[in-house]
Amino acid sequence: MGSPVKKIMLCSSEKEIFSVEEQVMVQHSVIINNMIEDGSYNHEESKIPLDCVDSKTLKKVIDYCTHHTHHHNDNQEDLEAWDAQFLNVDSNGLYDLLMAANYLEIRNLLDLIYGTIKNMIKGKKIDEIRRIFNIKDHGFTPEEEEQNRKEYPHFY
Amino acid sequence: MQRTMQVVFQKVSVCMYRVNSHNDSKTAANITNMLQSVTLTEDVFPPEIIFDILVRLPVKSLQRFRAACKLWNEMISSDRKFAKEQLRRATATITATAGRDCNRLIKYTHSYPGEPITSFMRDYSLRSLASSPGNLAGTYSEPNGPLVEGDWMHFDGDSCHGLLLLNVETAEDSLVLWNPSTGKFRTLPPIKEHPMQSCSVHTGFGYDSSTDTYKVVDVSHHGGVSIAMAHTVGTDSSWRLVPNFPNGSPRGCTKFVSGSLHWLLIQNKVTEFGEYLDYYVVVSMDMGKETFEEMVVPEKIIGDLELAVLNDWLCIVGRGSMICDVWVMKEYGNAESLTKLFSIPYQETNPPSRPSYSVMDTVSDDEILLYNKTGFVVYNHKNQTFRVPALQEFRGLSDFRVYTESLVSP
Repeated sequence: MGSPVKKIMLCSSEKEIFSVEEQVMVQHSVIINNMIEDGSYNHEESKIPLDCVDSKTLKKVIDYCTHHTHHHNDNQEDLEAWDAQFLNVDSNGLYDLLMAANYLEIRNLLDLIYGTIKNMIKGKKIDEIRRIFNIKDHGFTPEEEEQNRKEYPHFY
Repeated sequence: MQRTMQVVFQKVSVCMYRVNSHNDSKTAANITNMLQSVTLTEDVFPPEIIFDILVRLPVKSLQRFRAACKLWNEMISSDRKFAKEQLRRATATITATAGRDCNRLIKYTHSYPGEPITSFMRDYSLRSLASSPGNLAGTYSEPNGPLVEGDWMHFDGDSCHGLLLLNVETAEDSLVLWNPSTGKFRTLPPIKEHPMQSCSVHTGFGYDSSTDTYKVVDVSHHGGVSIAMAHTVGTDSSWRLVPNFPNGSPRGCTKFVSGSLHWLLIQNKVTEFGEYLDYYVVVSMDMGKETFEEMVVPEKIIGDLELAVLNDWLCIVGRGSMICDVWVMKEYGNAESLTKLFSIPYQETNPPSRPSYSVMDTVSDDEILLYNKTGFVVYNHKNQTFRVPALQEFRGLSDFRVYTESLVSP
């Protein structure tokens, strides 16, 4: 008989509690790893409040970490196919995932999301970029903006 | 703002060693459509996230994205840490043979003396040399900052971090450090009191990571004696003498690899039979300590030698009478680790010419760009085939370099 799997509790912004294998989160999240290492997490009483992560996103993050913990020996192609399926979300979902991965410092998930956004935007024109990133106030003076549009019309 | 950015940079440095191993193009295809009509965020992304997204993009996209907003413009144009991290990521994905997407060939052409004076730069992606069968006109780049049309110039030393050192012979302050990707340049102060009047000069430059500066080193040679002078770019200090440059006669272009600047020297000694014997020495300069080290080139490397850089390895090209051997130092600083990577056979030309190739760079899988006096050749060392890339040729005198696209400011 092996020792029972150690679990930790994560609490979403809706106060929903998720019980996860400790090892899964420790391996992926720098923040949670630090909390366990420095003893600030008490297994009897603590739950980790994640006020800026909603239940739907937290569930996805846990899915990601669990899969990558238990399937890290899978071949690269299978993992990539799984990742592609995993990131098949709408734009709000992608944004929420990015913010959650950033907050929990899950580096491989961040790399995956950043890489995806990079490929989506690299050929885009300025007007599209401004829409995607919701840049309403570009901060240029009207003269600077006009000058840019005149000088580089193909950028827009 | 200042504080937020500091936090960002700490975070970035923690993440630095992770290279993205995912094939994100597949995932991107899945959700590219979704971004056609919607906005990724209803809030504005924090600057640290913008940093992490933009730093993964190629220079060409970034040059365009400067127009998106002021914050992006500042990050892309003037944030040194951003430029460094962008370059590190763009050059980290190299594999042993594949070369880099961000490497380019730049060629300066000037009309022959006595003909109407014209001059221009052309710029080609190395990938296009590998793949495109058509006539490559290249991108016309106008160096109208550092150069005026008609200026005669040559490149000094090899490129480093996307910067090129121009020696503008027709200008008063002749040395200019220039980034062809951004157009930014810096004119360097002249050497006021040169210790040698009549000499040959071998100038190069490299990066000193201990002070985060670029240093230009000028080696002048006359009658068996060489003197090195150095200038730290971006400082007011004038040129200073760097003592103990080894004696010998410098050959070819300097190469910057593994934090050191390299020269190839010919030295000679008297053998036990009383004969003079020439031999080659690689001199390396530690850019931080400003000290020199000598490495005698092993006798197994024969022919007329030249230094090159391939896949971040220091490379010695032995140009023999029938064949040209390409040796790389697999473990930097260890002469024992010099390994013959491949040989380039005699290319049948009419009239026959010695295979005095200069090795320029890796173009793609198993393909190397060479220069052979008459022009560029792409050599596939696996199939041992030659191909002449269809560069549009222009009449005139020319000089060229391979460089890496970057945002680094000179």
